[in-house]
Amino acid sequence: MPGAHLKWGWAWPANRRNIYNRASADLNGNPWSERKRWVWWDPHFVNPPDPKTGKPIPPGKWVGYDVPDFTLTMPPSHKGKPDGIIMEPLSGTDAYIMRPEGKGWIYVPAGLVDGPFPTHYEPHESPVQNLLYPKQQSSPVHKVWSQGKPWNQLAAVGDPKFPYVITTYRLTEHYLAGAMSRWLPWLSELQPELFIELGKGLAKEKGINNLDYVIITTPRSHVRAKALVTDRIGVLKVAGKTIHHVGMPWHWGWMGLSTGDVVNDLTAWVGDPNVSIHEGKAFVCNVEKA
Amino acid sequence: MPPDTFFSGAPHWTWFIVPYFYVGGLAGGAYFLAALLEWFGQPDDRPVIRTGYRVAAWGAIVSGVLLTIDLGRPLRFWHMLFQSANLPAIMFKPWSPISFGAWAILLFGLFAVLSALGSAAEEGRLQAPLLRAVGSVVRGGVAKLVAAVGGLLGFFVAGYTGVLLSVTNRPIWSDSPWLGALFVASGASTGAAALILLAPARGATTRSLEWLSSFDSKALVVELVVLAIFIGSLGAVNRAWLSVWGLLLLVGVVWLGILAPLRLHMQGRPLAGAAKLVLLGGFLLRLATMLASEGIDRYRVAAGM
Amino acid sequence: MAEAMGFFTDTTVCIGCKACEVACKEWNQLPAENGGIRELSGDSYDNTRRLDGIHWRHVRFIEQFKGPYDGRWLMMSDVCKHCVQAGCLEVCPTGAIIRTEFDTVVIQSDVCNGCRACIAACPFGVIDINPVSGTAQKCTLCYDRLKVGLEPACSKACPTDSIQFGTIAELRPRAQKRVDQLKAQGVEAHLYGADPTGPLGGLNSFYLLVDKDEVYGLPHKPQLPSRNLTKSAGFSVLSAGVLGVLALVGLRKRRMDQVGGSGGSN
Repeated sequence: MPGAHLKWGWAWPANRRNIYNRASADLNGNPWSERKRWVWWDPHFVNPPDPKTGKPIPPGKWVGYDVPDFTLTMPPSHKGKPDGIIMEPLSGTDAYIMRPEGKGWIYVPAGLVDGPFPTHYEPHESPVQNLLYPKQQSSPVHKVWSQGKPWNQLAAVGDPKFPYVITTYRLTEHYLAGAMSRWLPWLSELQPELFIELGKGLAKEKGINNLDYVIITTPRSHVRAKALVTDRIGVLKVAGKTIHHVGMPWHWGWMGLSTGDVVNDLTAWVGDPNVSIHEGKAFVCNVEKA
Repeated sequence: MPPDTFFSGAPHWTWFIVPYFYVGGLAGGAYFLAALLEWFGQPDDRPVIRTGYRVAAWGAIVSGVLLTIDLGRPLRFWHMLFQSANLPAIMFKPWSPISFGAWAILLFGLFAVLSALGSAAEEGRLQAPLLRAVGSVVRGGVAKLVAAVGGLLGFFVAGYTGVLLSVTNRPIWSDSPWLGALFVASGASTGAAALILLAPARGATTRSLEWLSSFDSKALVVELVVLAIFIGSLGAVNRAWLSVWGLLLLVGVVWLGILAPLRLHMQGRPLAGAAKLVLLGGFLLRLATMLASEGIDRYRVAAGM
Repeated sequence: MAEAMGFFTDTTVCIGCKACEVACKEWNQLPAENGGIRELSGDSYDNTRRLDGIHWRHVRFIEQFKGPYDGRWLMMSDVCKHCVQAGCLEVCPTGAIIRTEFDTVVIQSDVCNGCRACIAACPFGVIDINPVSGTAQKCTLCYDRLKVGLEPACSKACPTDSIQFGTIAELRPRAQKRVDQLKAQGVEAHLYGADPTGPLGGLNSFYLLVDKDEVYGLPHKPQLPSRNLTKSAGFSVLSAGVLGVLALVGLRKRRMDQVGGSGGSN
């Protein structure tokens, strides 16, 4: 259905769903295409007088499916004040209102260590070769701590000892590593134990039934968890191979009303080049019935 | 798709309620028979009559105790008799079996105790002056009147428990209108069996016991017929019997509790053996019908288990 | 009576966040099962398992997958249906269960004695004993909040407005509009409990479902327990009558035999 469904949930701070959405309209304030109509300038809108000063405001307003991320009554033709302060230098076509010059940047000269354009690299552990760059498997500027050390072994590409792809994610009921949420009775009873979600195909292959204990192993560590067999997660067909995909929430630890193994122990000490977040969303593992 | 009744929740009427249904039915049946003999029997039936009253009185007291202990808040048992927020208004819902059952048990107990006191006075066994005074009133015409009202209440107590189970949304119980009839028949057969076992100690004559025994056989046949009708009326719900409870029903109730005693009767064996089997079968009937339904809970059905 | 009020739950926008479960527990100060230490149920993300004495809201998760990634995940926040004709109210022997001025069904905790007749009577398996109080407890549709003009805790907490609270008069047309909208998109939607001429006279907490009722754990045609009363009582009387007659016949036969043989030596 078209539209932003503004009454479905709430997006802080103003229920705006798309940042810089003035950019969805062209320099004259009309949508770039009918199919992508989102926020646009309505030149005939009659504005009430300014509530603070009582001065009349000329007609025209930014309207649309989303809450406009722009001064509501600033027309596209507005010229900015070059020596103005705060938002005054911005003109009616400067959609990127949080940048000082109001323009979007494709490439930044400082701050980011990679860029300018997105490209494809494989995660540091992957079951397949990087098809786009056969000679550069993963990001050359990824951070790697304790490189080569025994506690930070990485699986080789397509290592048959770790044939499955694993991702980690969150649940609604717990928060981060669970240090706060796993002490709360009402939240602990909603999600009481660590589990791994695996597809019915993989479960059948390894003889794993729903709620059986399984051991998940990576080159770094291993954890034990109950299996939740579901077809919500399953198989990936990549480069002609059928690869099973499994997933685990990472909320558990050993203290609290609800306890379990620490899933982040499985991940490698590899991090995002800019903000160092460890690569916990894509790596490889093995799963066996306990 | 499971039948609609499979989506309801189990009330956990188990460890106190199963014995209560059994004892209540037995007490009601025993009193019913005693009352019948009080009106239409002969002088040499008096030992059986007195045993019947005694079994009924103790049965009613035990029933009341079992029911009260089973409540989540036992001290509030009187809330079923009087409106707790609106004393001293009576609490009575004629369309709710558990409501009229509460009153029935109370009144039946009252009448059964009166009759028992009357027969104890007759035997000269009452010591306490108050009890003796009450007991001595209950004889002759008064005893017959008490027996008539108590007898009706007795049948009521024996049968209403089955009606109570059917006025629910539970599987098996509410899938058929025949459970009340079945429990009445079982109350009659177990009541007769209890009297066959206990009345000889009070001097019951062979003639009385033989009448009891012949009635017991007839009651067992009625019970078997009603059981068959009950099972037939369950239709697709009969899949619930594919369990240990179905086995118990077949082996414990039909074979041990009905067919075996009938055979013993026909072979003219001593009455006590058959009577014990009937008593066992009556208990197993309550156990099987109650627990077969209790085992079906909405969660397990909805989760596909 | 003030206006009939209740819930319309649009399950198509439920996200399974369980805010309704927690809000209900928080407002009513219900304990967690075993202090929060439990085992995984294995039933998708539903570890509450069922409505009971300490769970008055229960989010159900129904996975319908034909193969990996191929299917849908239905979610529905189950609650007491506050039936217009309530089975629990019918059988309650203490009069604890009453109908409020909002046409909701409430168990008065100080009257209930825990006999559990209501548990067996509810066609939806909603009620259960709260082990702390020993009495039967269930959703009150936040009667205490309604009395001061607030909406129930669950509908207030629901972030997607799946649970909508209002007067039944305004909820029913709103629900029908939503059904029509979904049907126009090719979704097989239907309302459960919105028909005043339907089962139980309609439910004051009714649902929009996109699959068969039983898939959501709801009985297709819920009925009142009293449907069995007359027949069951009648057959009991019949049975007693037959047994009474058999007993009397036996007595008469005995007397006749006695009279017939009184001339003999036995």
